[in-house]
Amino acid sequence: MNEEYYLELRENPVQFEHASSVNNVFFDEANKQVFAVRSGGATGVVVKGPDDKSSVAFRMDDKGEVKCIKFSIGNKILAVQRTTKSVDFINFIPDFPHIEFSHECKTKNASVLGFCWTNWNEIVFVTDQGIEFYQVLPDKRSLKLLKSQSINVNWYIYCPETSVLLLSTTVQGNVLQPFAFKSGTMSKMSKFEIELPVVPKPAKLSLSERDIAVATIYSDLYVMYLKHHSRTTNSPGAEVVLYHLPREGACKKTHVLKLNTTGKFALNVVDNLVVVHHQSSLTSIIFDIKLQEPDCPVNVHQAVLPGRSIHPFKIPRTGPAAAPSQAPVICELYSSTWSVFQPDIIISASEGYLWYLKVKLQPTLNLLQDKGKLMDFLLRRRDCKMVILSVCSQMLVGEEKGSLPVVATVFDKLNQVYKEYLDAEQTYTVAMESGPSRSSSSYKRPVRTQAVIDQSDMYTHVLSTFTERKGVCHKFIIAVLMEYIRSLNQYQITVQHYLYELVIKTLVHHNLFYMLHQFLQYHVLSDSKPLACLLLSLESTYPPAHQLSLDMLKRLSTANDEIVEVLLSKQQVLGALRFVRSVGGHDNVSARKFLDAARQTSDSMLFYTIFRFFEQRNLRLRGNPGFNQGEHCEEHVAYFKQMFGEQALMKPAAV
Amino acid sequence: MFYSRGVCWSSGCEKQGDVSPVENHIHCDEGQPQTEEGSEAACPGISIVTDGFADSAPGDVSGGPASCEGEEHTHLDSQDTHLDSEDAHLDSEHTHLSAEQALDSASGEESQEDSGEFVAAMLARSRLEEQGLGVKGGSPPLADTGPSPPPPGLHRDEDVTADAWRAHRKHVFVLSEAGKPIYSRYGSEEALSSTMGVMMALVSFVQSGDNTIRSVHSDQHTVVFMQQGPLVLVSVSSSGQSEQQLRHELRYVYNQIVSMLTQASIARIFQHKKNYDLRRLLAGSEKILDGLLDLLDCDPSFLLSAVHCMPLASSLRDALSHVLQKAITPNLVFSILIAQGQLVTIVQERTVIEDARLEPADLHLLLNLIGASSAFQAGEIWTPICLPSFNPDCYFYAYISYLDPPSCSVCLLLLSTDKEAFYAVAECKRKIEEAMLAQNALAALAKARPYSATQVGVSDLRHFMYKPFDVPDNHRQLTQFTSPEMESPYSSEAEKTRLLDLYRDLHGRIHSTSRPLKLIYHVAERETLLAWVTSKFELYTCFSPLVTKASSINAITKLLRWIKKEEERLFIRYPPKYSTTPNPSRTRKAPEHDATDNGFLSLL
Amino acid sequence: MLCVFFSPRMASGMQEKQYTPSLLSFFIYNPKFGPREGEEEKKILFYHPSELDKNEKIRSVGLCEAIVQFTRTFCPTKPAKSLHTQKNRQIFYEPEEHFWMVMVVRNPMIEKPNKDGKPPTIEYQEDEILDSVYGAVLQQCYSMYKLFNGTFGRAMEAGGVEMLTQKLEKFFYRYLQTLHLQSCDLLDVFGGISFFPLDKMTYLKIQSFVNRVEQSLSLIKYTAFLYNDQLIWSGLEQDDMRILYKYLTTSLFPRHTEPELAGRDSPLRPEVAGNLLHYGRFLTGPASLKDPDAKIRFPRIFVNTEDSYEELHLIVYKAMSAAVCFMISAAEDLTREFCEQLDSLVGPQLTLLASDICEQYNINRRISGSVLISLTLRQTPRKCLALLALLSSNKHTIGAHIKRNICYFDSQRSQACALFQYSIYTI
Repeated sequence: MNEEYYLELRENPVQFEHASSVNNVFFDEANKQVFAVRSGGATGVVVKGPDDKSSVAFRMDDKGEVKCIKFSIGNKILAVQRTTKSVDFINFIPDFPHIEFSHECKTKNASVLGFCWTNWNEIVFVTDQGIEFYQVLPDKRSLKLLKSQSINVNWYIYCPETSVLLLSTTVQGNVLQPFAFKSGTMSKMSKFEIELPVVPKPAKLSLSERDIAVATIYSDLYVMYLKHHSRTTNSPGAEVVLYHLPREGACKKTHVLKLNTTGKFALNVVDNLVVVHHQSSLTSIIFDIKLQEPDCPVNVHQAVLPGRSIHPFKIPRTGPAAAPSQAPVICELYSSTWSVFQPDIIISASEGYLWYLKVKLQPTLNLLQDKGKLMDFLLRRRDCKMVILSVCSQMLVGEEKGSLPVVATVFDKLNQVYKEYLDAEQTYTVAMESGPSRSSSSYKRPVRTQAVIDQSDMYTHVLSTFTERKGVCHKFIIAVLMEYIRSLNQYQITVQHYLYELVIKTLVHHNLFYMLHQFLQYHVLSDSKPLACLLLSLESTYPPAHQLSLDMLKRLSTANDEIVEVLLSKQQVLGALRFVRSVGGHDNVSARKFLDAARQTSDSMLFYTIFRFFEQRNLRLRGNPGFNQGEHCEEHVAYFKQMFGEQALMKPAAV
Repeated sequence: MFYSRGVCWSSGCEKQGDVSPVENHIHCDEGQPQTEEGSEAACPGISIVTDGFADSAPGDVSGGPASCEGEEHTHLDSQDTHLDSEDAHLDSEHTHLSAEQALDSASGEESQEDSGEFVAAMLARSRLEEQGLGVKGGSPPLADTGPSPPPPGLHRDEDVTADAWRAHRKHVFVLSEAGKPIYSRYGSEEALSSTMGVMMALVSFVQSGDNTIRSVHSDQHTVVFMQQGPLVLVSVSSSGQSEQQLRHELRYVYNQIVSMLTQASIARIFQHKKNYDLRRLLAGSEKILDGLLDLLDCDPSFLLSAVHCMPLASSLRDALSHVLQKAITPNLVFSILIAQGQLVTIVQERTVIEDARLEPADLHLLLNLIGASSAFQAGEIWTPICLPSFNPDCYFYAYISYLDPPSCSVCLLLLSTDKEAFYAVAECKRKIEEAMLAQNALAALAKARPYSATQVGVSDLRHFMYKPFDVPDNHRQLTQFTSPEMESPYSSEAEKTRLLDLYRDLHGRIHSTSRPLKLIYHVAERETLLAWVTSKFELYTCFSPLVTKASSINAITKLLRWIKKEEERLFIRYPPKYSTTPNPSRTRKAPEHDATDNGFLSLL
Repeated sequence: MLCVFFSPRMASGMQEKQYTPSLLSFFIYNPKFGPREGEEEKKILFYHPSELDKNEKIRSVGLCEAIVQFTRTFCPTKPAKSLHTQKNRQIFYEPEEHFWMVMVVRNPMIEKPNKDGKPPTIEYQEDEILDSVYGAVLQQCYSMYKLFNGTFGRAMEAGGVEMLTQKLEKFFYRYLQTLHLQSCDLLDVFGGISFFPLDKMTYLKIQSFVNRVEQSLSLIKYTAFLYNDQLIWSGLEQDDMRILYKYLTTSLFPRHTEPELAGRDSPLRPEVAGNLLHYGRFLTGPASLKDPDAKIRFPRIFVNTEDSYEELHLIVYKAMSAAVCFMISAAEDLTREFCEQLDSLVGPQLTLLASDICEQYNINRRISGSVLISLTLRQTPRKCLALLALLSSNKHTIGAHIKRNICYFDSQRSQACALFQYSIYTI
């Protein structure tokens, strides 16, 4: 059961004093900071950020109930809204006057719905009649209006990471007007309409901000609309509709996520997955909008995995009272006091916790039977490498051993990603070589995601262990290895020799030499020095291997020295010498080396031949058949005399 | 008749000069009592020979064979008288093929001490002397390097069931159509008579199917069968030679036998007695066959069927030829001078040579005859000898004497057609001796050395054999070849044989009847060989295995140039002639188409 | 002028008749079976021509025994391999102890007509025939027999002499007719397997095809894949594959060429129960799977007779130019269901593969084909030289093949090179 939880709350959440009558809690999505404001700030404000460093504590005078409180980027300036008319500012920049100053929205009798920082000193006021874009001048303790836009606003949503502001307009509130902010500029994007399940008569506000969320998925900005189930429409349950919101151009409805149930929902986006929490069933489901190829303008998706609860979370007892003996409290999941923020934040104000949501991949192995789909899913996740590898090893062994076609598709999927990365690398390096001038700007080094599973990964984590495994039919082992090699070849990835070695070792281990020979014959096992050496080592068990290896070395054409060594080691001194000559190295080779080898064969005839050869070489090079001191051939000369007599030595005259 | 016998024993030692045959006879008997009886019984043997000549002696060619038939018949009858014992069971053996029978017949022979043939008797003596003198000097090129044949006794009583016997590289067997053993290179004929029985069985079995057995091949051996008239010769060889080559060798063996008995007489004997034991006539001559077979293994001149003549300054060679030319007597047809077993020069009777040439094959037989027995080292020998390629049915009379005793390296060989000419020919020898003494030729010859391949001055060239075809008036010429001495790395016996085997292999390929080749470049394990045949020459070369094709071709052109330059020294370019015909009645000579009339008969 | 005079003679010379080598007789005997006098006939296990007179048969067997015995006196371990006579050549082979196979081939001959009505003179070309070639042919006879019947010894164990003689009769009666002695050559000696030239990727595709089929039809023990009668993959060990290949290429495939010859490949099959369209069909076993009472029987073959001695069903399945052999233990009995399963599984894939290969092949035409000569080549350099001599009367291309592959037998490498030089000069 335990390995069925594929969602969990990450370790060490941000803790803060839980909300109460004296303590108001605010959350700033931009800086992901929780503000605990005790009695309007007079008794202190504690700001806790994602990491402890960014937690701040200060006091401020209680000037009435705080509506909204946020730091500008980098905690430079604090903005606090207490009234519907104005926003107050407090300078947090060191050696700047730390005195509050306030700013009223310029639009007459408009009430401020809220504000959001778009930069360390730029802020947007959202009023029911429009938006006002200001630059804050802390030294002058005043604000400068950069731009403003008047428009009726029901409510707004701000997406900090893209600094896009979404305004709900019109009576029904289902026409959304996005604005994009960028250092001092504000650009209006094309507005769009959310299709309502039922158009109310008479018209009334029927799109609440609770049903809308904005998040980037696969680096595209989406507006997610939680479309509740309605009896009139014959949809079996609620669904999440995704509107793609491009920087330029119109916003389009692109995906529909079928929830197949009704009730209260909350949305998160984790690792490019849309997570939908269903309160009544205390379960969550996840969607991957890339899992199926986009065939039509609007793609309908089902949950990738069956609904499962978030992994239970235990709260350790805190404070001096805490004793190790006492079991930690199981905290209540999906509680009504939860509020969910994008992309992956869950806050329980009542208990004073801020969690990050996280997807665990391991459980998906058992939950997703279709290995191909599983691969597609995993390859898009962040920390997928080990999981993928375990999928691979799992599919090769045990009773749920995958059929070869499955194995093949899995390998193909892996290698496709692998290949894409290699190509990117390639083009990058090429660009670099061609001169960083223009490339440096146009290309950035491709990031190697965990999804890139290369040959050494496969070798170390999957194949090597698999081949050594007992009780696996060797036919299957070879089949798998060949599949992998096939797949690599299909994507024109050069196969590393250690894979070939694996194949060869397996074949040899089962005396399938004839197969091996056929593979070599068709160059399935491409030539390489290590491979040639391996073949050499096989000679004792399979004599032809020796020749195969020599031929391979010859084809490599970079292994001439090796060839000579091999031949000499086989006492094929003549062959060695012939070869050296064929590659034109015979004037430089050491005479002694060859004479030694010839001596070892104790074949006097051979020795004679070799000796003569070098005598002639000496004659050709130095006009004298004798050997030089440096060549250290004295003993051989002596031996020659003793074998064939003084007169057999070549005479300088004889040319 | 008795007189002719006297001649055969004459002049055992020089100083006695002109002494009576009888004395001599006795003088040598004390050495060897049984030849006494041998020589007595020899009468019929001799008669076969002499009668053969007596008949054909008068110039009447046509009548020859017919009348000799008659003579033969009456004569052999007389012999039957003491063969009766044997006849009893031999006659019942007309188809004796089974082993047992063959054995019987063999054992049946054992009792027969009756070996009284002319040559045989002479050799019996030589064998005796050998114990004293041993073999030295007088062996042809390479013979001394070739596996020196252990005294025949050793081979004869080998255990034919032992592995050692099986291990022999080449066996040769000669048997009669009746399956009677005649000769075996290793092991005694008696012990092998069953094996030979089987051989004969195979031959005649195949024959019965109106077919002819050629050879049997196994991974180890090639067995070649050859039938020559009433004789069957079999070679069992693991030398890897081609069937052709083995057959060629068997023909030499056959011819050697013919050279001692003539084809005609062999035919006559077996016509008369199918199961005659030919060993009676060949007793003592196994040694010659042994010697021949050893030569065949180690002397390339047989392979090339060419004569290897001693390289000599042409001036010296001419001088010697001149000496021979001067010393002539009627019916002298060939004067041959041999030094260290190699041909120095040969002078030929003009008219004879116009009728038929002296084949190298015949000369090889002569050389072998001389080399095989040291008998000739003592004084002069006068022996009838047949030159099968020249005429298989008639005898020449060979006068053989060494000119430089005791070292016995220079040998004079004079061939006459007149069996009575011993003294005349001996006289020629004296003349030659004097002349050579005058010129101090012996010393010069003693200095003569074979040359070395390095003299050619081509690196990588280790050895070669060159056989020219473009010699002056070729059709009269004795085919020759030249070849340097085998030096290191081919100085050891094993290496020499190995090289020869390689040559044989190439030769076999070049001369293959079905798929002949003109040029072979063969990179062997320890050397590279190149064989090349053109209309002008046949050449076999051995290079270092590291030679390249280009450089070897290059080397060959150099080699050919060198040979051209040395020609005069390496070959007998213009073999001298003389005329010994008393009456130049050549004009009336019968045309050549008649095979039996081989010219020199008509001279007499 | 002279020429004109001679030309008619030459014309008459043209009329000489050439006779190629022909099989005179072929027999198998075991000397142990009729040791006593008068029992010789029992030694004979098979004799062709059977109509020959009994005594004649006994005589010829007797001769062979004698020859073998005779050669044993000189080397007990290496008895005679062949007997050369003026008119014919006898090849001996002892595949199993005491079992001797003998093939008697008449030498090729030329019949020269004689003028004025004399009987024509016949000239036997004694050296035309090469032992190595016909020796190999004889060994092939045995291997082929063994492939379909197992060893002599097993037959004896199973059903004594009777069974053995029956098997021999049954097999060789047909097989001997398929021997084409005149067209025997070098390839017979090497028992060469011709491999299909192919690029790596396509080869790997074939690999995974084979592996997949073997996984999903686990009965299959060995698979071999051929294209255009050339081998691409063999799961069988080489020696067995060599003889199987011989059978496929010289006997089975030729009998089934018609559809391929007829332009585009075999007629497209109507869609069978959800199958893709494909060209697949069985070359062995049922002619048609539709016919319900057609027997599902496949030929049996025997492999690895040295050690495991396996008996297998031989299924040959072909689509276009691609043929696959599936070998399944004879212990399994093959149902129609299995055949249908195989057909529907293999048919479509093989069809696709076949067209892939065809495509690839047309692309990489330049890669020339090669004859792979047995890696365990037992030829001595001498033999090879002889064979190359034979080559000289053959096409040069074969010479090239020799050079490429002979290098595999390394101990003789230096010779091998020499051989090629040699063949250059002779061809």
